[in-house]
Amino acid sequence: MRVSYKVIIFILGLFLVVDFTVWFYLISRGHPNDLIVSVLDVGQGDGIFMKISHNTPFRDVDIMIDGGKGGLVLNELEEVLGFYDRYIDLLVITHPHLDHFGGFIDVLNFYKVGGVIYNGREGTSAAWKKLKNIIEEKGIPLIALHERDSIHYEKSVFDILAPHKHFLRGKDVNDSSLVMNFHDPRLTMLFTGDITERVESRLLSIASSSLHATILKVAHHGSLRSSISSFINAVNPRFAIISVGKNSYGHPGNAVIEQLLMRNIDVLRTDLNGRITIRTDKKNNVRIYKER
Amino acid sequence: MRLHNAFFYSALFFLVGIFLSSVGVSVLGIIIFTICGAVTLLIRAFFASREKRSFFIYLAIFSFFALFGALRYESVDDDYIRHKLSFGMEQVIEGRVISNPYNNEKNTRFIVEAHGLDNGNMEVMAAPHEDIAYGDYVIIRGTVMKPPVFRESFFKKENIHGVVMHASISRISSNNGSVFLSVLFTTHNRIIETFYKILPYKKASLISGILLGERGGITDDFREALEKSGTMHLVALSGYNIGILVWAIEKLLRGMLKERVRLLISIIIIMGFIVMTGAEASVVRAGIMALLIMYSGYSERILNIRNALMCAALFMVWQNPYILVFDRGFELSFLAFCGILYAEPLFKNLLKREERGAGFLSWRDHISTTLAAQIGVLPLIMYMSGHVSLLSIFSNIFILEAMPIIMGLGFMLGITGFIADFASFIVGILLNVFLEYIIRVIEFFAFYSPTLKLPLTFLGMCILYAILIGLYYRFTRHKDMTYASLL
Repeated sequence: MRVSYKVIIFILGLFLVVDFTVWFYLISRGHPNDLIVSVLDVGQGDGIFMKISHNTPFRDVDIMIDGGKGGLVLNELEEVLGFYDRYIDLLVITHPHLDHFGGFIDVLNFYKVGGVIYNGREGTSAAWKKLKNIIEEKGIPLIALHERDSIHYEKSVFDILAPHKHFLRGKDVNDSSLVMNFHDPRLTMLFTGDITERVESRLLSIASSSLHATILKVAHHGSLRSSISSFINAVNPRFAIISVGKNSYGHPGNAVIEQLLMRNIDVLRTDLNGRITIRTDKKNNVRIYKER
Repeated sequence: MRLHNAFFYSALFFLVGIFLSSVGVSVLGIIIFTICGAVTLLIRAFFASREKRSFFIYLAIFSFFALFGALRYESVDDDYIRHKLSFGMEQVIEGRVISNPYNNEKNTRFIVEAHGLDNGNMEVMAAPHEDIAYGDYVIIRGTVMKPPVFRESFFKKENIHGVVMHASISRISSNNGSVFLSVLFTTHNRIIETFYKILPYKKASLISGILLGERGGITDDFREALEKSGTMHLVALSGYNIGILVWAIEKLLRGMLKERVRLLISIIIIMGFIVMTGAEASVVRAGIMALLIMYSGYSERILNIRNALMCAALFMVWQNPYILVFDRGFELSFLAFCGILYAEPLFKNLLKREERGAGFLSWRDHISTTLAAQIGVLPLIMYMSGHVSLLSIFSNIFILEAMPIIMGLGFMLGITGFIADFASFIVGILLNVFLEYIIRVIEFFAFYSPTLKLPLTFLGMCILYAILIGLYYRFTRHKDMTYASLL
């Protein structure tokens, strides 16, 4: 049987495409011992993506801490995850404000999600109800975590430092934020949600020694009502990241930025630097990449 | 004067009347204008040769259609003003949602037809992700505000009488709208959902714009790239979309069904597409023209494309007189089409299209079409924004050849989304490749294409159009530009 050269070229072309796709996929996965934290440029809001691997190829864990306000997070997620990967292990909602969970409505619609963690406080907005409906409809486990709980994966640990039940029921929803200290032999990072000075003071009084971190996600988009000097002293970070976009609240406050710079802390902002990516290399050195 | 020319000139004067009313000329002013115009034309007829005389006399008679235009505008305007709403007061209003709600991170926006003492249409802005759909009967709590002055013309055009911001909404009942519209809006939303489910974000937002005119998902960076590369028209629905839709229907159904059934199916599909995409002026224009073209084919009558265009304009402006002056989409669509109708043959002639064929990537066709359309809209764009993309012709040459495939695959993806995930995945892979190509072209030209800022005043725009028309007549005078052809 004679096979035309067109068929041969087509088959060879097909093999080439498949080969390219497989190699692209493998290379773009990165080193199996990578730890990547990306503070996404989601406009005014918080959206942080983490990829944690521990020398266990194909078993890395993808976590998102807050999802920004709207659909912009999808574009950012594709940049860090690749469009072909539509599975995220864990979504963490620090508190039920739209600029922290709004984007998760789209994420839950277009991605498969392993579980959702929140602080247990229910929101009142239509968007929150929609989010809860989607979680319920899809049968995704929803877990409420509070002060003293923790999440473990291999050598990586998220210590939940807040909210305390007093703040959970309080008037200011911001103060009910989940505060998490992530630590791992490669990196420590403190996630502060939108807490104000009240929660910072409480954390200083009860868990001052557990606050230290190499990287600080500055609370409440750099608000003047947060980041008191004693709190920054206790965290003593090398880098401070402010997740902020165009807003009418005056975030980030100049006084907050000055405080950080005074302590020789490198300040990075998503509104100026775009997406900020933190990677650890083989020797556990922390490298930071800015989009602009 | 032949009937088709009589129709054209009377419709033209009708539009002139609407135009004058829209820019604020009173009815009395228009009566004076009409009488002066008619008298001038009659005087011109008196001095004209016998061949030309009847043309001017007819024009003088038809000029009175400007009065009808003015009266039509006034009656619609009176109707708009008659709707009284109590502005500035906190109120509880009952009404029916009459639009497909638009949801973004800032709010959920929809139009409600209010029932009760305050009757009129209101644009309502509620919290994001409010669970509202077309046809819902709702109670709105909020303060009704007057449309802001700078958007007054837009609100008039959309027949909206007031705005309720930060409204709180409770739903009383669902499915109170037309079943046809409900199905169309559900289909529209489902197709967009499929795009975002299967394709990367940027590509999903692009194909949503190309196919359904949905631009909400396009990021600011990409919007800028589209503007700089002169390809913004891709995501604004145009006659091109309808053209490809008609072409696809013809290809699919030819030979399978009787001509009459085919025409009926085409009408239903085109009307469905127009409504589903929010009845943007450019799509309505193209839809009406496509139907006229198809009907002329069916009835074996000769189609005068100039009259088909006028017919579309007349129908649309009669329905909504505000669009003539206040809808940029309407103006751009008609001007682009006029450009293609009159200037494209000149460019094709210049490029020797007939003798040498379309060329690689059909470049001769694309250059002619793009240049012709751009010349048609250029003065208006210069008046509107002042930005002119210098290399947009090249970006369009590279893109336009791929558009029918992209739109075809887009439709297929939308349809397979209703059937099976696996099928949409396969179509999605193919579509992904073509969209990647288009995005690369757009971003390349956005990076390298210089944009000029050439702002024009209203008068400057009118002069430029006059020059273009003059040039056209100069270049075509050797052909059939005689008074006999106008009659």
